[in-house]
Amino acid sequence: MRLAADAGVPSLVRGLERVWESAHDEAGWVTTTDHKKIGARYIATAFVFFILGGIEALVMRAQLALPGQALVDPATYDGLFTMHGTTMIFLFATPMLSGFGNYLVPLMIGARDMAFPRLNAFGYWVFVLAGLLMYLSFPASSLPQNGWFAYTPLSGPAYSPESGIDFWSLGLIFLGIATTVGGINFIVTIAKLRAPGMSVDRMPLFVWNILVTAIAMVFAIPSLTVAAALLELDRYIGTHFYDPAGGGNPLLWQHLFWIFGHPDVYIIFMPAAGMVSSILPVFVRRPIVGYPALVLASVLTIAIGFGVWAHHMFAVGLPVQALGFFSAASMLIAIPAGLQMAAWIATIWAGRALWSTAFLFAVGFIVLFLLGGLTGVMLGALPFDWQVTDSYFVVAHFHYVLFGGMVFPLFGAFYYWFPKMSGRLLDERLGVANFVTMFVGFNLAFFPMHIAGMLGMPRRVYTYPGGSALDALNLLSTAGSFLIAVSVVIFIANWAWASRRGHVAGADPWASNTLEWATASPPPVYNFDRIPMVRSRDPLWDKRTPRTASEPADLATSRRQTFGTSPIEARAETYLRMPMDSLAPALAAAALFVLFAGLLLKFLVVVALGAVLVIAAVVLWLWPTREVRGAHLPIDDAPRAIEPGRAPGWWGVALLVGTDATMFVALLASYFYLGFAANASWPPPEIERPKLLMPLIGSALLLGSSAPIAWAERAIARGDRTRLLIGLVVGWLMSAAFLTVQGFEYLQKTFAPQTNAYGSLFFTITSFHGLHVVSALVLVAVLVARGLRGQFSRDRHLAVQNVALWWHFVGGAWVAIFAALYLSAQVLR
Amino acid sequence: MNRDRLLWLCVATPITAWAAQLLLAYFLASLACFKGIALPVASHLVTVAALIATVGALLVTRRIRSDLGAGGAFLASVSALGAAVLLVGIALGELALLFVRGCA
Ligand code: HEM
Ligand SMILES: [Cu+2]
Repeated sequence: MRLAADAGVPSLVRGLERVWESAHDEAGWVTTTDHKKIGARYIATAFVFFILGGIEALVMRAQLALPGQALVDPATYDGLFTMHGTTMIFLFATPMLSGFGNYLVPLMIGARDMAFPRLNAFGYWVFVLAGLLMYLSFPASSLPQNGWFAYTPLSGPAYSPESGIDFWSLGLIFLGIATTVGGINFIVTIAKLRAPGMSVDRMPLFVWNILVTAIAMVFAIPSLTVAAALLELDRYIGTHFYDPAGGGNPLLWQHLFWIFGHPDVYIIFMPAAGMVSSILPVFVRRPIVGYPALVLASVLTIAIGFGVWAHHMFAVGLPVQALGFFSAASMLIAIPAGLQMAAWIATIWAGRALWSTAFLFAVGFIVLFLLGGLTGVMLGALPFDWQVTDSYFVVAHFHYVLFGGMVFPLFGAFYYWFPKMSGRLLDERLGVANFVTMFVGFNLAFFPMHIAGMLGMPRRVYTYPGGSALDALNLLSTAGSFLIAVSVVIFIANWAWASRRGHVAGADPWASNTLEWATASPPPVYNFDRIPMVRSRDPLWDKRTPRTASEPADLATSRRQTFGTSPIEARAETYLRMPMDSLAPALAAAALFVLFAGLLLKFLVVVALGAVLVIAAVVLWLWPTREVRGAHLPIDDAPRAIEPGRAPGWWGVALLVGTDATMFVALLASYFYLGFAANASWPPPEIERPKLLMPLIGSALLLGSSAPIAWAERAIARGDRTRLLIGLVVGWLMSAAFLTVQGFEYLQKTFAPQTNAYGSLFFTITSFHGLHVVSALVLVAVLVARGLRGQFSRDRHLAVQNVALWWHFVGGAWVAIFAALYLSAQVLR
Repeated sequence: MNRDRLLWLCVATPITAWAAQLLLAYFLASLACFKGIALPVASHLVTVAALIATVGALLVTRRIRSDLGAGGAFLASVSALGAAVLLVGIALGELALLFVRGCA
């Protein structure tokens, strides 16, 4: 099957180029929304962070090469392992895989871009700026020193008064925005933009794995964001979330962090596993064995992955029986892992292998990941974990899982997809050298750590006493680390050489099976001139004559568009219009940077400035551009809808609601968690029981405001612009009144966020909700402004639907808060 | 109910049941250890409820499978296999309940 631009349609191709090209100047560089450019930037930037994290690791290994050295002092060593772990997990592994996802997913599913191209650009800029923010801790000589999981109370204000941890946690909150919008974008893209005919049973496994990863992102990141935000509140304004003296609990941090942290392991591993599932069949020349088993394994792993967080807390004194459950769950997760392994090995077994570099890395991955999995099962057993927790055994284990499980597939992916991205092949002899040095170096570096750990070498120590077996083991580890560095240098050389001189690859150098190989290398800006019809799981191995989905050429060349299809069966529903390039995403990211920099500097004026800029950028973003309003383009989105489903925008808002709701759940769970630990009553005895009258009035206003908003939405669906405006304004006023009532209630409180943990929770939860109300007010104000200009009609009012959904969510969240903070207090106090 | 919705419900139920068992068991164990309120029967009831919900979802999945398109049928099969694994998980949780005792 070959779909690459054929000569018969030069006018189509020229038309597509005209609508899809970005401007070829600096402005075009910043404003582009092309998923391929953004994906490539993610990959390049994450690679830079890999080098930085690698240098940090080499300094540590140099320090540990011999006993009793003083290359770095203990504090610097602490900073190095913290920055190394943080960089590798957050700034290298996750964004690197997002980069591949960004580049490949639209191509693999036969779409012309991601569902939300501007959000995609925004995510990239946020990632770069968040990484920059964290790395500013180097010039500020204020490295975070608390390890990549920053346990309280060590990271709290009492024991870490320096600003290092603020770089870390503000950076992570900032970065979380990028990861979350990225996750939402992947989910909607995969659910709605697949080429007609690509039902879920025909989706490439890489796409499946990106999908489950994205779901994990959307629901795991909120927990980290809440954890880090509460930490900053403790540090900045003296709340008591993690401070036992004020009724808080340091274990709250551990719970919140690991509810994020364990799924995060799969956020890193799943896309890498998807790479392996893509590479193996191509190089053994047969379809993958056990496709359903692999899908099942991915879905189950992510789902169960949310229920095993406490296995990181085996040593903190949870009830033994509870440890039993978490231990059982951790064992359960071995079932899907085993399935996956079995399917991969069977695939190799059943085919005839072509030992290319990409395949070597995939096989290397299987070997290393098996070892890492085995030590993982050992650690899942309580008594063993108690023995080696916080020793080098653990360091060895997670490098086998992370390095073996992610870096090896990644290098395989480089060799496999580099030709697609650049049009040229990497050199295979250098490739083999790359693989051999990395495999040998890796095992030399990390295998001895198992033994060092069992001999009792603790992790996170800057040196160790000489004269024992540890000397030789550490020297080996250091030698191995430098061999890994050599391997990476070989790779960079290969990359640099091949970009200019490598063999020209052609559209499909490996005779592959999936759609990204059906278009030229590198792909044209519009990906596909005609969108393929998919009729099997391996469309390029399909012997039948290829077919394309019908799409009127005049429409395809008059605006950016791709197919919108149904989520399960991928039936064509509509042609989706995609936005043009825009400066708003970069501006919004820069505005957020100002905001976070202000927080870091504790400079309220800068924070306020940042907040104003963010709002301005969002308004600019939401304001429709000329191309969309102009008369030369078809106005309505779904003129030839075959079977209309929900618009991608609605899905996006729904997922945003999901991630936000998770944050509220984390906050309310924290409320009850700390309340559970409090002895007598919750709120504590020194705090009076909350009164109900004012809050009831406020609640009535807020919940009631949903009615005029819903009424307005229904009005515009009938084309009634006047009622739309009336409903919006009435809803706005009611909600503003709610905020006023809430303000009065604040004034009447006899306690403050600093009084005790209860006060901290009360004010944090209610004001976090208040921020949501403010955001809803801003959005409705934008709607009113647009409505006054007559921008909504019966067929065009998606923005109204989306804001209404957000509005109802803000009301719904209040119901939960009211029940927890006000009603439960009547009983528990 | 709309067939697609029913399918999603069948996909979501087993995992929710398993998660609920885990969380409730953790909560009940904490209640027993830190508050001295032991409710042993409650935890077994939770197991039973989780088992019933999961098996129920399995049966419904089997019932609707034949009415679905290729993609839907695939999801139904994957979900049924997943439910089977989660049944093992719920059983493992019950084993922990029966054989692992105590607080510290
Ligand atoms: C380039 C090869 C690498 C080397 C030589 C290396 C070496 C090290 C060393 C020496 C430590 C500190 C051990 C201690 O003092 O406790 C460490 C910690 C860590 N590494 Fe690596 N590493 C490498 C790659 C990676 C990769 C690719 C990842 C993840 C994708 C990673 C994730 C981590 C994490 C999460 C920690 C824990 C940091 C902490 O204790 O807070 N490393 N590594
Ligand atoms: Cu874990």
